[in-house]
Amino acid sequence: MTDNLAEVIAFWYLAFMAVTGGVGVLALRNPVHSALSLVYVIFHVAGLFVILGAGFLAVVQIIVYAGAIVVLFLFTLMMLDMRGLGEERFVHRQLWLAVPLGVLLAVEAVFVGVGTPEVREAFLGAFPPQTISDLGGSTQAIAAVLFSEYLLPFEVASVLLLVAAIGAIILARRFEREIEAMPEAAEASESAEAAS
Amino acid sequence: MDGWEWLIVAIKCVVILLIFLGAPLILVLVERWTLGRLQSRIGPNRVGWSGTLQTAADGLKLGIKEDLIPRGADKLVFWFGPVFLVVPALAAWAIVPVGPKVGLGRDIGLWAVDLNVGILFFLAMGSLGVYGVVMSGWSSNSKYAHFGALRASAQVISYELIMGLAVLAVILYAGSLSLIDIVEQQRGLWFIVPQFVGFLLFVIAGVAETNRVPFDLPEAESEIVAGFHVEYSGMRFAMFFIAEYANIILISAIITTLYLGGWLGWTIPGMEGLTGIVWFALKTAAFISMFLLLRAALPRLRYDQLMSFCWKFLMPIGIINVLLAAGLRMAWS
Repeated sequence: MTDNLAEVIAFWYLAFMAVTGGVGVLALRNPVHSALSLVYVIFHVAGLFVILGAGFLAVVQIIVYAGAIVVLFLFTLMMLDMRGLGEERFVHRQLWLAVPLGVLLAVEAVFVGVGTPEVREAFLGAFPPQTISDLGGSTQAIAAVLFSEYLLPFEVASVLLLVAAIGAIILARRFEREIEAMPEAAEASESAEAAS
Repeated sequence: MDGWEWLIVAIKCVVILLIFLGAPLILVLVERWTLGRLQSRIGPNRVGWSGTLQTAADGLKLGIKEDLIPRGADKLVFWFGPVFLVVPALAAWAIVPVGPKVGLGRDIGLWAVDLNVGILFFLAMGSLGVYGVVMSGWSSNSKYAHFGALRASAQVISYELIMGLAVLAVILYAGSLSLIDIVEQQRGLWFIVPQFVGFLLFVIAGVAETNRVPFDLPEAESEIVAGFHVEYSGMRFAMFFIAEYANIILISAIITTLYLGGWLGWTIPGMEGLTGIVWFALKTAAFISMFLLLRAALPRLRYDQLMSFCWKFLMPIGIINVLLAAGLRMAWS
């Protein structure tokens, strides 16, 4: 029973902190602070995975999101000139569109949740962490599902990501060539040659 | 868990913390002596018995210095930067097995926790270390610190992949993510033999992740003064040092665990625990010395060399290595 109580306390702590961090991502005026707040959210969501007995997901969450994606965010943010960024209006002018759509999405999520038996059972505690460890540890459980039942979506997603990466490289390349084709750049390189 | 188990866990934590704080003190001194000899000078020889108390004195000096926060700095982020560097380095120690299970009234594993995703936990903590660098570099409001942080983030993201690829091949051989299982799987043959290429990749990536020479571009003294920690002083500056040396010891310990059979070696019957610790310490010390000698031997890479070396040379080798390892595994079983 004490384990259960500790779990409940841990859940509410982690959930509250994750939501607080989420508010921070939106409300903080400095983009770097927002990105760091996102790391905060990722940590607490990883903690939620831990109390669910899904250690693999927790660690992968940190490696992928905190270790790679947000670091790239910060890398990009550090390249930007951020003077005056915090002075924009907090309430965006697309608010009239955003609020109805947000409400619609929330209602939809609740309906799907109530309508799906698996989600309802999960809410009622039909999937306790024991079942995950019964499957031979969460790592094996994920691999068994990912590489059999969901193999095709998994492969499609990976090919899609590869295409995106190649596309990004090609776009960056073309930009480079266009700069070279610009007359100013040609003049600059000529004068540089003359100087050397 | 009864009272004794709590006590054992508490003792393990205290031991890890003591090693974490104590080892850098010794290592800084050894490094300065080594560098001194290799560069035909004497090195520290004044404080204490022929210089033995030099780091302690330096630590004391840093402790009583003013903790300066530059004007225009982002105070909160500046304050937390070094913390984010130290905490992951300390947390990763929880999974390092320094010896086998010993029976002292009950079975005690000479590790803090046996995570079933141990090696991934190490990779996660390694990738978090960069936050300390980026936060302190960005928040300092200084050009040099900013450049250090930029370089560090690009470098760590790139070399993390190489480390991941090298680890992947080890996981294929061991069939487990737990570091204890990985060590036990090496009873017949240390993984350095079938995975020599992976071992080299891991060592190179490890040196890059700790920002050590020849990959010390984030702090490059001769170009950007001291990079990301240029604005720090006092105890905060000392925290960067503690984190750097703790990371060196950590990477050496992980190399030992993954490729050199961890605590395995000849044992005296009945004293497996003690000999295990000695073997582990010896192997780890060998790699720590390698880190120190590299610093004296190699020049710094240029930034474009650093990037193309990683993506165009190490990356293909890493992928081929994983494919070969997977093929060999299939052929075996």
